[in-house]
Formats: sequence, C-alpha cells, structure tokens
Amino acid sequence: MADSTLSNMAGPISGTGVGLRHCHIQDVLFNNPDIPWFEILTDNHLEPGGPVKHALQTIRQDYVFSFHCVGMSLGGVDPLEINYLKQIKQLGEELDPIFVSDHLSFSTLNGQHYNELLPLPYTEDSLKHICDRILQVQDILNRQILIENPSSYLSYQHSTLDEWDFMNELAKQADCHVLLDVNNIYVSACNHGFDSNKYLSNIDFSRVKEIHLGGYEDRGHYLLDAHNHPISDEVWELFKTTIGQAPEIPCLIEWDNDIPALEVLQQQASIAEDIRQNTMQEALLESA
Amino acid sequence: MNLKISQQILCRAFEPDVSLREFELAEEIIHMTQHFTPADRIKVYQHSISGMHYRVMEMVFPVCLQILGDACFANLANDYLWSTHSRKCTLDQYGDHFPDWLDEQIDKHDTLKDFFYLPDLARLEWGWHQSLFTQDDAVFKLEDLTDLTNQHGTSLVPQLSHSLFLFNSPYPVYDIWLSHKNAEPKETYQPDLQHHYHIIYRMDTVEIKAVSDMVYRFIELCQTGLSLADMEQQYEKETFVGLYELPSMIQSGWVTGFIADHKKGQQV
Repeated sequence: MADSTLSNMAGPISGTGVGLRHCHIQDVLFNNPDIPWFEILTDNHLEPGGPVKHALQTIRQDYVFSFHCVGMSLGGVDPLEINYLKQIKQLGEELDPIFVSDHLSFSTLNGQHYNELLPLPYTEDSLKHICDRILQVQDILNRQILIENPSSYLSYQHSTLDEWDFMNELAKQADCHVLLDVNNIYVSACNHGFDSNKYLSNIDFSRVKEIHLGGYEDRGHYLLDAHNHPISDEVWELFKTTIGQAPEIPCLIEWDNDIPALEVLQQQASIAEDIRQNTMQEALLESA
Repeated sequence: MNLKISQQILCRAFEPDVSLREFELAEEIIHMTQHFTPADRIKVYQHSISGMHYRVMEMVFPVCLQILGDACFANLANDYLWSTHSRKCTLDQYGDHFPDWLDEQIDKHDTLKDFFYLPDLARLEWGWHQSLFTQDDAVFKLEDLTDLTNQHGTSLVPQLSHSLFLFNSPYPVYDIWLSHKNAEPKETYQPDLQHHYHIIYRMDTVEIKAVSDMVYRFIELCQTGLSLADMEQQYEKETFVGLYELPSMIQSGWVTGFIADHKKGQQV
C-alpha cells in the first residue's frame, strides 16, 4: 500500500496558505510574503524546464508546497494516464509536496479530454470504480492522495448515495484523505437544494487533511464556482462550523480568475485565521 | 445505469452536433428543479469547457486574438475545440494543431481570406510558447570547440538547444507580431524579401531572430542528426556557412553540445 508518511502528518503545515498563481510568482520571489504555505496547480507546472519552473524551485526553498491536480480523471472509464501520473511523481521528487490532491469527478471519455471536473453518479458501482482507481494512483505515486469534493451543477437521477456518504466511503475504502472545499459544499448545496450544514455534520473529519476556501459568482438561478470573488459571508459562516469540527486542519485560499494583488489573498487568509483563533478560544471557554 | 453509459450520454450532450434525441436522453438522466432545468445545467458545463480552452488559446495566441478581435477569435477557438478535441489531460500542449487548422479555415471562410498570413502568425506564437517551457540545456563553452575538433575532426554531430524552433514564412509575420506587441522592430521589413527565416530560442527570455536561408538550412540539417562531415559532403554550401557561424550559434545558445559520430549517444 502507499507510503503515507508525509500525507498522514498535518503537522508540517498549519495555518492558511494561498494558491500560487503565475501572476504572483515574482512578488513571492522578491518579497518573501508572510504566507505559511502555497498550493500549486500541478498541471500548470509539468513542463520540463523554463523560467517559471526555476522560480518555483527557488520559492520552494522557503515555503512548503502542496500539489493540486485536475487531470487524473479519477471517476473516468478511460485507462488512467500513466505518463501524466509519472510527471506528477517526477515533479513531486523535485518539489516534495506535503499533499497531492485531485477531484471526485471525471474529465476524459473515449480519449477526449474535456479538461473540466464533470460530476459522477453517486452509486455503489461508481464508488467501487473510483476507489480502485485511487488505489492504483496511490500505488503509482507511492503516497496517499486527497480527494476534493467538487462544486457541481448537475446530479443524476440514478444516484443512490448522498455526496457526503460517498466521500466518507471513498476515503475509507481507498484509504485516502479528503480535501474539503467549503465553498464547493455551499455552491453544490444551492445548485441541488441540499443543506450545507447536513453535509458538514455527516462528513468524517478524521479523513479531512486540507480545507479549500474560494469565492463563487452568483449567476441568478445558480452559483458558479468561479474563484473570482472574495469568499462570501455564507461560506465564512460554514467555515466557522467546519473549523469548529477540526480546528487544526490547514486551509487554503483559491483565486483563479480576475486575480487581484497577493495582498488581497493574504487578507482573505487573515480572516480565515481570525475565525480559526476565535473558534478555538470559544471552544476553550465552553470547555472551561 | 452503468457508469460508462451515463458518461457517454452526458458528454454527447456537450457536443455542438448533438441530436435532439441525444440531448433529451441526457436531460432524462439529470435531476431537475423548477428554476434550473437539466438543459441549463448541461449548458453550464458546455460554457465552462469552452471558456477553459478559450483562456488557454488567448494566452498562447494573443496577437492572433488582437488581429481577429474578441468575437471572431472566440468563435474560431470554439470551433477549433469541438472539431479537434483536446487529446491530453493537461492544457499545456493545447493549441498545437491550431495553425494547421487555421490553414483549412482560411480556405473555407470568405471573411478570413484577408488574413492569409494568420496560420503562419499562429505558428510563430506557438513556437514562442513552446520555447518558454522546454527542458533547460547544459551550458557549452565556446573554448571547448577547439579541443573537440582536434579530437574528432568533423565527425561531430551538433546538438541543438531544446528551446530552439525554426520558423519560416513568405509573409513578414514577425514584423506584424512585433507591431502588435508594441515592441521595437528588431529588423525592418524588406518588401523585396521572398521569404523570411527565423530562429525562436530561449536565453533568459524567449527571443526571435531573423537569419539567412543558409543558416536556417544548416540548423535544419543539424536537426536531422547528420555529422558535420556528412553535411559537408552532401550540402557543401549550407555547411560552409553554418561552420562559419558556429561560434556565434554556440554563444547564442542554439548549439549546446556535440556527439562524436562514432560514439552515437555519447555527449562530448
């Protein structure tokens, strides 16, 4: 089974990190901002060389990285892309990430890549299918991975499980971990009409190793997980509940479109840390 | 319903040429709510897929975008996506067939006929993009060349930089590219020039340099893996010019090493 030494230890990273995007690389290189850790979009950095890669190697000397992937197509029925996984492993050897994550979704069919996180039906069949593939991926990467709950815009009539039950079972059966995206819970809850708090009260927090926070866009009759806004008040509220369940879990601020200055992301991270501290203090007071 | 069938039904619904019956089939497997119909839900993914690929295209082909304008470029990018389909799980190589695909479109659409140079401009932009992310090269020192030629004569096979791409066109697309980048022209367009030859390569940043047809052909010969001796025998004129330019090619980082012909695979 996969070597879980690194991914079982939440210790080496704590606090709220920031998703490192191209436009902030120079800023980070020259200003060494006070950010505890960075997450990189692995798929954007699989190139064999070049200035961006050099910059990442330099930044890695001062910061811990986690890898966030979008191309594994873990729920897909096409064979796993072994070369892609080898590239991730190779980059992992270079940058030594604390976590490697991908999504509960599929993105490939019949050799065609949609490069989108497409939703799965939540059935026993698809649970078994994705667990088998996660186990294969973990064997290839020689480590446990984290699976993120996706934001979704459609669900299937023939689904028989709720997403939180599917996530819990998947983490247990594939012996992997969970990356809990609080914004995705809220977006999916609004789009499908379930209760976000019910999701949180049913998720197995012993498997959650990282939390994502991002901003959605309100499109009127649905919410789009656009990562182009500050985190909404509703999602901050959900985050309070989340952090109440698991106060030590590292968090990450994601912002991928209309990206503002790094300071804006740092401000969002500060809010998350304030909420964490307040929640922990309140819990202490209550227990006293 | 098995997983493969549900994925096939859903993905078919994203395609622009989906039939009414196929789309209805996808709607039937999707949950609906009053204000967010299955058709609307499918469209969210359709737009997201198109948008994701469009953002890559606008990053890789920024001058093509400027020339065509947002709406026209977006239409082309969307047609390109659904007619060629992405075949890789990452988007870093997405757009590789766009120049060739544009060649076909220029012939098909009257509105594009005036942009006959656009496929070559896209090739230039693709080469620039590729050069930026290629494997780093080992540094080769000019002074090592004398030792090598003393040891091996002309049996050496030149090794080119991973970042080097050849580009040629009957049109002055590099000047067009520069003017849209608001960059200072590094060469003046010569209307009498029949053909334009360029080398795209990366030092600290990606550079594009105009070269003579002879230098261009010498580098093409280097790409075939011939030794200098074999080149000289078969392509005397190009090799003569190439050998004369070799020191400057090494200094520019275009030639990054040599392999002794009798020790193929052994870098010297």
